[in-house]
Amino acid sequence: MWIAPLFLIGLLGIGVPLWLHRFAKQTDQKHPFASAMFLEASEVRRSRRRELRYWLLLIARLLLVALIVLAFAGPRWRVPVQSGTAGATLHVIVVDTSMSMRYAGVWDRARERAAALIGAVHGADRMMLVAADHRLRLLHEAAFANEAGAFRGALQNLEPGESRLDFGAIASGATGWGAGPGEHVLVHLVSDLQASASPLRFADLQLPPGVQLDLVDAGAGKSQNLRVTAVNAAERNANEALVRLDGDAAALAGRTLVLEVNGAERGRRALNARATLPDVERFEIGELGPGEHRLAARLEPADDLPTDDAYYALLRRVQPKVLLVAASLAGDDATYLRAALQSLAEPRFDVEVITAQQLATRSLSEFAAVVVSDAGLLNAAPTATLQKYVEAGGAALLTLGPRMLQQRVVPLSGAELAKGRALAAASAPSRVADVEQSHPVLREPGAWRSIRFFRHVPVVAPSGAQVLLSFENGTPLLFEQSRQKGRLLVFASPLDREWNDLAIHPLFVRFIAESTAYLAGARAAPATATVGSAFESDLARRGGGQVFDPRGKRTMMLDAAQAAGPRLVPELAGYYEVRGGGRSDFIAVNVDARESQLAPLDEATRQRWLALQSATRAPVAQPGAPAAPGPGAAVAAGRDRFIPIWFWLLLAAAALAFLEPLVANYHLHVQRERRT
Amino acid sequence: MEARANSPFSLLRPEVLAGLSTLELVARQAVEGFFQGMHRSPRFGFSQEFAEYKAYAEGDDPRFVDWNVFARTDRTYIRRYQGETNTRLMIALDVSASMGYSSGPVSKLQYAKFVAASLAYMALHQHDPVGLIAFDAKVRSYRPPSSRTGSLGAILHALDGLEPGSKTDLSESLHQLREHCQRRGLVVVISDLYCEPEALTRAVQPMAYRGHDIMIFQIMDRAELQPHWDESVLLEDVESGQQLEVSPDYLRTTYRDRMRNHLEHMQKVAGKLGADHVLLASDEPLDKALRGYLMFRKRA
Repeated sequence: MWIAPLFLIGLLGIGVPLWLHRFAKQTDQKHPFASAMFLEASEVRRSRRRELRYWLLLIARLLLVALIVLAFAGPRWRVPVQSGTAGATLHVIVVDTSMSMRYAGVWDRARERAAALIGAVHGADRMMLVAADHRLRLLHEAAFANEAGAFRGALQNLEPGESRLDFGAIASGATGWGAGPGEHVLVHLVSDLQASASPLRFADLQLPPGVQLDLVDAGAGKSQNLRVTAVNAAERNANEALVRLDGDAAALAGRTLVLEVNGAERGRRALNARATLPDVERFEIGELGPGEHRLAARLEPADDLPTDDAYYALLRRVQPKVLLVAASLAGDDATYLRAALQSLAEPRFDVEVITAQQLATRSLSEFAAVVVSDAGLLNAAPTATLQKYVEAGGAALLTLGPRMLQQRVVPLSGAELAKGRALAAASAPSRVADVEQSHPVLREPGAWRSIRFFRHVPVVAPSGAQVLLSFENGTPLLFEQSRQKGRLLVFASPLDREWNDLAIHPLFVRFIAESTAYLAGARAAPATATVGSAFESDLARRGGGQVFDPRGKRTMMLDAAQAAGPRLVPELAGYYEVRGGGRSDFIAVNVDARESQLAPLDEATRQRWLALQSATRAPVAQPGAPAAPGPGAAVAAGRDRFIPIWFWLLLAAAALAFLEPLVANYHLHVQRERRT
Repeated sequence: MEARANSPFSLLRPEVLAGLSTLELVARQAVEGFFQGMHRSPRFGFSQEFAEYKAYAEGDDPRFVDWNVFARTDRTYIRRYQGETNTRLMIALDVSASMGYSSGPVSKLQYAKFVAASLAYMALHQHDPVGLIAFDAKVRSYRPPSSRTGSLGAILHALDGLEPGSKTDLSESLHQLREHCQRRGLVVVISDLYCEPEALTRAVQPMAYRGHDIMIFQIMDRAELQPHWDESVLLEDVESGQQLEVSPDYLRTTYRDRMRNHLEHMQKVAGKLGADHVLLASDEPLDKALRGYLMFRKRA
């Protein structure tokens, strides 16, 4: 009944006008007169009328206060939902509003079919209108045929979106449609009946028991469609973009593919009508500066389904600076590590080598990651500098070399060196036994097991650390630690050829490069999403911000005080802009590729689906027996509709607020006149 | 009569007189202003006009013997002038609470004081003895008639100190006045006359029978004569404290009829008693009152 009943305490405020009017009555002025000899108090009626006016003012003020308080309390009008008649049918008209319905002529046909269904409902039967794409939207509550006009109006305002429909979602959503006791439910699915809209399991198409299905095909029959399925940078050539095309080869004729970079056209190519699909087109995009770039490919002219003619992608160009700390600038470890870091084409590291002594006086804020060739090099001052850097959000890769054996605790990590049997085993050759394959740094578990370790530094992984590689005796070789806002990777063996043969193994370069890229955050994929699917924005981490859709309309806003915001469900293809935390980023949103596959369900599948429903037909109620509750009876019982009326109360309050000064001013004017 | 701003009578407007500091100034201003309006000198007015010859009798002032007549007729006559026909003027001023009412800058009592002071000033310049009696339910102040030097100041001082009192009892007060006025003269009653006509008759008739000339100035406020309110109004009688909520319709119609009838009754009663009745509104110039007095003096 009330959304915020605590606001009703505000009704105590009606005491204010009451007090004011009592006060005003006390100050009602008497006028001295020379003699009452010829006076008569004969006009009581007029006197009453004056008081009545004051009463009107009082009532207006009381109402004003009461309306404002009630509006804030959020009253809702309880409207009982019309229940159906036993034996009648509830026609649930589900209109497919997925992207494929935008195909030329399909939507008009679907609307015609739905309108025909609305017109066919009569008598005790009721109908309900539902739109279905990535979610089910109730457009009109269950009602009898006399409200057909409202149904047609709702249908007329309906347009297909850009998201995907899964028929399984209709089947699971059908449980929420309330039918009256003994009322049959017949679902009319008005759709192009795409085969790609089927769920993974055929059984998921099964509607609840007693709900019948009617498939109303509004599809185009034979269709041709060409779509852009992906845009990305070539792996081997960072200056080249690849655009992938798929669909019907017949749709290639007369089409042109256009590539845009950051909104500016970068390439245009007429498509070969005889090409086989899927096809890849290559575009030279040139050297792109550091940062995030928007790559969009578009087919011209638009075909019968224009929504999937464009694809939006983001290309991230980063050139992180990496600091390499070694015993000497010309040592083996420095040479190997530098070569490994510079071998990667993407990201391309900018490597600087310094000694441990230089580290103490160096500002590290400009570096994306720090690699230390032997943690034993670090004494107190460099350790303090590095610790401050990591705890502020930096990342470091520490390798443990011979100098580490002279210490008891790994600097920065806090991991203690093992003693006893583990220390003795560290001098013996060993191999990697366990590999954490899910970690992005370790993608080749077999290669790790082939590397020979002659010696290693035996350490005990500190609590909270994640061991990624470990030897046969359980001693960790590689573990990851979090240090406040930063990350740390500790590798318990030096990267030279004396303690292991990793440096001459092909894995070496990839491991060093990938682990450094991982620490530098260069491997974070650009934000991409699909229309209709939930996307976890990072606004909460940014301390609040806003999200704008491709048309520039704000779709989400998050305050700094909110710990986590709602997930973004994009409804349009294009670039969503995320502003917050002092920067602006993009999310590339594309339509679901399955919506572009326009082939309809074959007849056999349709029949199987219908047969699936026939097998679960509701039992017929026996004469004289109470009618069996319909599928939604439990939900329908006591399920009233609540209409919020706070807006109307506020409107009435606004009207009163306008009238009150007029009435009050009139009385004030009269009082002034009487005083004179 | 409405005095215009550029008329000499404008000096007699009550709101102008109310701005003067003393009643003497008020009286002088009123009287001299009045005569200027009449194009007559206040110093040498009717009092220098010849009235009659009278055979000299013992006790007459030999300075007034007309020696020209004596030379021609060998008889001694003395000349008499109008101004020398002395009249005792007794002013009876109502100071009841109702006289304190005002809807404008001048209350009825203040206006009555102006009238009384002006009459006293004018009379004393004709060497008429002037007395004052102020009353409400009983006599509040009394000064016997006198034309001696300084009597004007005494009268004005007495007028100045008068404040609105309680209820009015005209017959009782004038009864006491009769006891003080044994000799014939002019009695000026200044009151709003909120009493029954019979009470006025009872109060004035005995004095008329004694041969007194009586002049009644009835002072009313404009708001009493023509009350005007747009809304119903709560009115309180300043004498009795009675409160009545009265409608504007009533004030516009019935009240005015009743007031008109009352005034007519008062005028008829005064006429029957041989008295002059002059109705004065407190926003009118004072010339009406002074003219009434002059007319009386001419008749005398």
